[in-house]
Parts: sequence; C-alpha cells; structure tokens
Amino acid sequence: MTTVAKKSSRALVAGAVGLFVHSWVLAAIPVQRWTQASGAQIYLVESPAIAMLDVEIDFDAGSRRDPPSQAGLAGVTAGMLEKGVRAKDGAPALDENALGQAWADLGAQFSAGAGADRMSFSLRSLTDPALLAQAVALAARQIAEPSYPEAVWERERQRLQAALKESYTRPGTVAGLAYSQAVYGHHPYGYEMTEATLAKISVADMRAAHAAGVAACRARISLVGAVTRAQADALAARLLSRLPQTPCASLPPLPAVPEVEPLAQAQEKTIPFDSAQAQVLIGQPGFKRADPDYFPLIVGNYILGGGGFVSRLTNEVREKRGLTYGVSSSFSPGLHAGSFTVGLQTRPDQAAQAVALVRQMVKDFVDNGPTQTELQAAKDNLVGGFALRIDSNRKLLANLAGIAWNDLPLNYLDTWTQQVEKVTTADIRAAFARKLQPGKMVTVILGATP
Amino acid sequence: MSEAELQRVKVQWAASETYKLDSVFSQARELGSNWVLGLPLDASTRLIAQLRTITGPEVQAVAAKYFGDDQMTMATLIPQALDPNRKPRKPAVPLGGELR
Repeated sequence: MTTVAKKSSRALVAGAVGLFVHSWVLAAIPVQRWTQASGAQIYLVESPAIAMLDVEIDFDAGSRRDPPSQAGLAGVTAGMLEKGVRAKDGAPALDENALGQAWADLGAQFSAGAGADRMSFSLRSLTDPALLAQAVALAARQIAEPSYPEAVWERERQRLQAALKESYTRPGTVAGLAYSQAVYGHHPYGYEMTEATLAKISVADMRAAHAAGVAACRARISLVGAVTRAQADALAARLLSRLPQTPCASLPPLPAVPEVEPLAQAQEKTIPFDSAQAQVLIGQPGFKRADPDYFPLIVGNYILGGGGFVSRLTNEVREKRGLTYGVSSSFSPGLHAGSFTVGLQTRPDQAAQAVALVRQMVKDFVDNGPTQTELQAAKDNLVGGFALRIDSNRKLLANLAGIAWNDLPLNYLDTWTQQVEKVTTADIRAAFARKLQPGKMVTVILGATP
Repeated sequence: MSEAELQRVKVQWAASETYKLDSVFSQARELGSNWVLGLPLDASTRLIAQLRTITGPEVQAVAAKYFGDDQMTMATLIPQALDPNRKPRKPAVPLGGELR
C-alpha cells in the first residue's frame, strides 16, 4: 500500500509538488464541466492524440477525517480496496490475486489512495472499446464493493507496522514526525499513523469509513484522454453505478474539520540521533489553497527557497558558506493551512550556525520582500517552464483534478501565466507578512549531539 | 503456453507501447532510437501490428530453438556463515526528544 508513504511525506512534499499548474497562453486548454443526475461533478479535457484514457475520482474522505486514535484509517481503507471485491448481483467475488490477473489481462491500471484531504481512485486504460468497457466495469466494482478480507488485513497491518518500525531508524522520518506534531498540534494534518493506531483499526472500521466517505453524489471525476463528452459522461456514470445513488441532500452532512491553529510562540526541539548529518526543519502553518494570496506566495517562495539553485537560501547557505548540500522552502496548501517549511541537512557542529542564518533570511524576506531583479528572474522561470507542467495526459489530469477539487475557474490553466506576471514585489512582501511570523516558528534539530 | 497467457502478453505489450507515448520526451526518444537503428518512422506502430499476429506455436518454436542446455548459464548463491566477532551496528536512539 503506497498510502503510508503518501501520508507521512505529505506535509513536506505533496503540497509543493501539486502547487504549480500549467498555463499555455496561446494554446488554450478547453475544460468541460457538468453535473450528473447523481450529483457527481465531471471535468473533462479531450486529448485525442493517444488511444488512452486517464481518470481520477476524488472524495472528501482523506486522512483529515481520521479519528485521532485510528490515524491512518483513510489510507488503509483505500489501500485495502485492492485486496478483493465481494460477490454481488451475479458478479463473483475476486481475491487480490484474481484482481491482479484481471487488471493484467486488460492492460489497465487501477489504484486507490488517500492524502490529507482526498481519497482518490485512478484508472488508466486503453480506449480500445472492449478493453475500456471491461476496465471501467472492474473499477466500478472495486470502488463500490471492496470485500475487506480480515486475514489479508491482519497481514497488511503487520507489514505496515514493520515498515513503520524501520522508518523510525531514519533521521528524516523522526525529524518530520516531531516537526509535524509541533506545527499542527491537535489538528488532523498532524495525525500520524503508528503501530498503536493501526492496532485499533478493524475491517469493520474500514467498511464504515468507506460507506461514509465514498458517495456518488460527492464524487469529483476528472478525465483526460481520447474520449468525447458523451463517452466521458457514460464512463463516469458507469464508474459510480455500483455505489448507492442517494442524493447528497438525503445524506448526513460531513462534519466540519477545524482549521489549523496559528502558533502562539517559538518552539525549538533538539533530538539526539545517531546520524552523520543533522536534520533541520523550520516553519509554521502556511496557507489554505483557497487563499487569495496564492500567486504572490508561490512566486515569492520560488525566490526564497523553492527555486533550487537560484534561490536565496541555496545561494547563502550552500554557495556562500558551504553549510549544506541542499536547502529549500515549500508551502503545502490544502483545504487547511498546510505547513510552510524550510528544510536542510548539515554537519552537526554547524547546525546552530545554519539555523541562525535561515531564521535571519526568512525574517529579512518577510520584512523586505524580494528585489525587482529577483522577481523578474522568478517570473521568467515559472512562465517559461509552464509548458513542462502539462506536457503529458498524466500531468494534465493532476492539474484538472486540482481545478475540480479546489473549485478553481475553468480557465485556470489558460490564465496561470498571467496571474504570475501580475505579481509585484509589494504583493509578495504583503502576502508573506500576512502569512509568516518569523518570531513564532517551530525549529527541529535532529542530530548527533545537541 | 495457454491462449490466455499469450493474449495477456500481447495486451500488456500494446498497452505499455501506448502509455509510453504519454510524454513528449518519450515520443522524441522513441523516434530517435528507431532512426538510429535505421528503422522507419512508424516502426512502433508496425511492431504492435505484427505482435498481434504472433501465435502460440511460433513462440514455442523460438523457445525450443534458443532455450537449451547448450546455451544455458547458471549461477548459484551459497550463503556463508556470519563472522561471530563482527561489530554490531549501533542502535538508533528511540523516538522523542526534549522540548524547550
């Protein structure tokens, strides 16, 4: 189950990866959107060049809805979907081996997983009519009729617990756990799956989480591939056809999830660990995806620490002082304020110097913002590199699903570069001043000696 | 070899050739590698078309021709006893730390 890695690395990586979407000013990307009778919302980009189809179906059933004592429930609920379907309406039960063989025979790929916000199902198939019809039928069964076999869960739980134990021997994992806990406090974004929470999860809990979260009326379905709108509409309906078709108005509303609390004061954790390099993480809650400061913040972060070798942090911490091999900063916006994080590794005896330098640089950036030259270089890179963010159906699908999930305008990709071009140095300074409090950040230093 | 096994290989192969095209970079690489081998620009399409015509007996004939004892190389890994005086790895410090 890949959901474990997804969950644990989410705070530091996933948001930053999903951040940039593509915009092609000349060649518009027409997004079609409609709502089905079930209530499901469909987003389609027709891409006829290659005889294949990619689909992502998202539900508001990510790990932010996990009970604290059962952290990891969403991830395993999704992961166990691949372990078997039950017999229903004349279709026979299939165990994990039979499912694996069926997908291999179809040359298609199906996966399920959960992030902090969404539970997602993905299908990739050829558009050969016979193969596609069978692939959609099988995906529909897996989405709606997982068997959650008890014996397989006992095995998977042991496997996950062993993987967790192994992960605690790695300095990056241990630093990340301490950091996440300090930044998110009691918010679900900070929940971590542990051996103890896994021990409290039963297959009955998975069935309940699946029933509560995977409802046809709440689905957001994104499709990119060689299909017409009429075909996409029929395929989407079939993918959801085995789920209860209860209208959302008749379902109990999903409980509200609280926001991430701002930090009250600065906090520093030093953790002894037998490793050659010290791990340093500095940051705080960042911003929500719906924040109107989105573009100034991502352009500003490119300048501060997102832009790799040309970022301020790399220039000062690595190039000028040789304190590290790599240093970067990232935001991870979601339905709630995902973290702003600066991360680096350094020789343990240099950790204090590196921390002081990073803190000073973040404060300086918040106080003064970037220069006009830095801003122009950032825009040139982001606008010029935009095409590479959508140069495959798979990347386009990820962006389309982002539009669907975050209720972004349908011309979002077409106007992306314009939004970047509009950002001014004053916008960035003001946005960073609103979001970051350099005097109230969390610092985690994990290494040989404090 | 069963007909189902052969069919699975064909579908898998055709699928991977198709999915591979979902990247401008891969498309360029494929054109380049076909070109450097002196193959026509539509070599990949022809390959898939020919793949669909392969029969079970053809696969068996090729296997019988090449998979024989005369052409086989075999390697065996034999586990050795561990050195009892080997220095143990230092255990990692358990989770947790001080908060200040």
